[in-house]
Amino acid sequence: MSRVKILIVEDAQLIAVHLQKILQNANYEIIGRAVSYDEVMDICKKKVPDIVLMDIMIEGEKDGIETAIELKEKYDLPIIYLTALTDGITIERAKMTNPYGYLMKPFQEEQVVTLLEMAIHKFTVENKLRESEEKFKAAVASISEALIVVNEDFTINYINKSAEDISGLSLEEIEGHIFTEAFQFLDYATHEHIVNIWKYFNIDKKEQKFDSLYLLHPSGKKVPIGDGSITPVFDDKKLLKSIVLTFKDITQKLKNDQKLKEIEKTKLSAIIEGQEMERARIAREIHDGLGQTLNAIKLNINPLLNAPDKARAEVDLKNLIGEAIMETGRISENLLPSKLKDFDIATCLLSLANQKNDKLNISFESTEVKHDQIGINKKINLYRIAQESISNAIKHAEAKNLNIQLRGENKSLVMTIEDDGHGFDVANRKEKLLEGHHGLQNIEDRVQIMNGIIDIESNANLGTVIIVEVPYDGTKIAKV
Amino acid sequence: MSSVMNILLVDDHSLIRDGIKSLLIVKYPKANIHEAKSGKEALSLAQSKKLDIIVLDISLPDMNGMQIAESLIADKNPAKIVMLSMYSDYDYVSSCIEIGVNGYILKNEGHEIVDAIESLAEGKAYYSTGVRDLIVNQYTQKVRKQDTAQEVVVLTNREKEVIKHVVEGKTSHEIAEMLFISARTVDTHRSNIMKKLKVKNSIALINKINELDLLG
Repeated sequence: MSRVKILIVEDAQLIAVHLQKILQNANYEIIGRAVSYDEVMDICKKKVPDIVLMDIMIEGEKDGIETAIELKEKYDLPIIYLTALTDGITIERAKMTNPYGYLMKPFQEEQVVTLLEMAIHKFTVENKLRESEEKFKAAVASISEALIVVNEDFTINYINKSAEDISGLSLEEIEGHIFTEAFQFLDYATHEHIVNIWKYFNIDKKEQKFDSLYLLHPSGKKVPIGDGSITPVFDDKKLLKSIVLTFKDITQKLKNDQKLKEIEKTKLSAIIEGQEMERARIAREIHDGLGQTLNAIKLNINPLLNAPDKARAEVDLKNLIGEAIMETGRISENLLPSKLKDFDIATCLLSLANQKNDKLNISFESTEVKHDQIGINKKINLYRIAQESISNAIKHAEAKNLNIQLRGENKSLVMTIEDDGHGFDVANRKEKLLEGHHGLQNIEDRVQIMNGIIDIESNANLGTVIIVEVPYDGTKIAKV
Repeated sequence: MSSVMNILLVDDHSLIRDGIKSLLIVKYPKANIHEAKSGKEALSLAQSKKLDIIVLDISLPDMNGMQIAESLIADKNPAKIVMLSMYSDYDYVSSCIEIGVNGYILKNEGHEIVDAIESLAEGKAYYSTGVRDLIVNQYTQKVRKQDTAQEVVVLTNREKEVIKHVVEGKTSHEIAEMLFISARTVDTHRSNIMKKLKVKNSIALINKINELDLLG
């Protein structure tokens, strides 16, 4: 440790020299000796001491006490007074400067050193305390939760920065005010004014939590607050010492919850709407296709029975029935490809890729996959995801090529679908859902049903890639 | 083949069985025609009766016709099998051929069953008109594809992008950062490429890329 630096202020040279000797012997560093206010200030400008020994009667207009006041203000230095004066008024004045000690002239050598040591120790401890208090205050001030401390007489002791922000009040203007007068709370459900928050929360007991309340802002706005607690602090004699309140502004949280609800609702209505659309499509197909063909058959029965050209009528009728059968097959294939039941997913996807498509060139590749661990539900979901992606690639991305890859991992199956279309903004896809584009949501829902993981990357230059990882039946994959 | 033919019709719809039966009776009035409406029944009849021909539907309530055919053939049952199905789809046809059945008829062309049984009785295979079209179409498509595309490994644009950085020895995280995609996606691309190139580790991968000149 470096030596403690001392400034001696004493206009009696003999005493000053004597002091300097004593202190130097005790291994202190004397940075200077001053006889007046001006000299003190000159020395401190060059080098700041750790402690000042100050005579009260010094040369010049300002005495030692006035000098000490200035030193404390400017440098926050601990002062020890050297004095022979003992009149009450002087002592009172000296007290006001919070000195670290008094040394009565004449003094003993040991006396000086002991007093100095004590002063230095006290100063160090106080400094540390002040520092930790400042750190603590800074921490409390910076937390995002509002924190309010109320005294035992229910006046406000302290509110932190967040509490100021949320309430629209400042510590300066409400410190010492009655808490219930400064802060107005409303019941969350009824919006009724809570007259006595302490009774409302029964603060005689231990800590109370609350989920939601309104805090009345000076502007008249009702700020929703939540995640709150009210904690009474008792002393040894079980008397109320203070009350600590914490809470958060939950405006944003409520907004997010609301949005989430909307998305859920849209999702649900998308499902219902999707089902309705599908029903309408099937109805149309049966009516326009199968229905018309069956009508034609009925119309042809009579000509067959009565007509002279029976052979011709029979051929027509057979053709019509054949058409009706084909139509039935086509409709049922659309509803659920029979293949999914009888073949593995790779075969089904390959066949999907091979279906004639004028707008999109689809390729399919597969590595070894544990087909016996992919049940019918997974097959249907994977197939539908591929179908949806193909439809998106054509309709929205205007892609030319699309590649489907199927790869088996130890415990899971990875399907990668990549197109070279013009991509979309992945981050914004929830907005798209609200606009009525359900395709991607549908894919995500299917992946969720399979306990899988989905990654979607899209950009204008490279197109879109959808990676779906699905656990084999009877296994789980670790979510990243 | 014995003088009186033993035929088993397997279909869960009695109307279809009746229809086929009425067609067969005209041509083979003396034939013994047995009927089964499930896979289980069919297998048990095939064991107990000495059957010459089995007409087998694919879509049955308990198991599919292909599984039944597979099991019969594995048991070395001497009966000839002809599939009778709604499915006019090449994958079904090719699977059945692979299993080793003797014929495939579309239900839409059910009247051809008579010709089919005649062929089977002579020891020949029989495929109905629509099935023959399917096979020919598939074959020409394949030939055309082989003409245009040889057996080469094709990497997608993204895979090429990723592999460029892999060759430079970058980690998935570094690549992810450069391409603004997640490390998981990079890993998926990397795994896909490795499986496509049939290599097990990154060194072999880099060698293979250089060997095939995939980035050239």
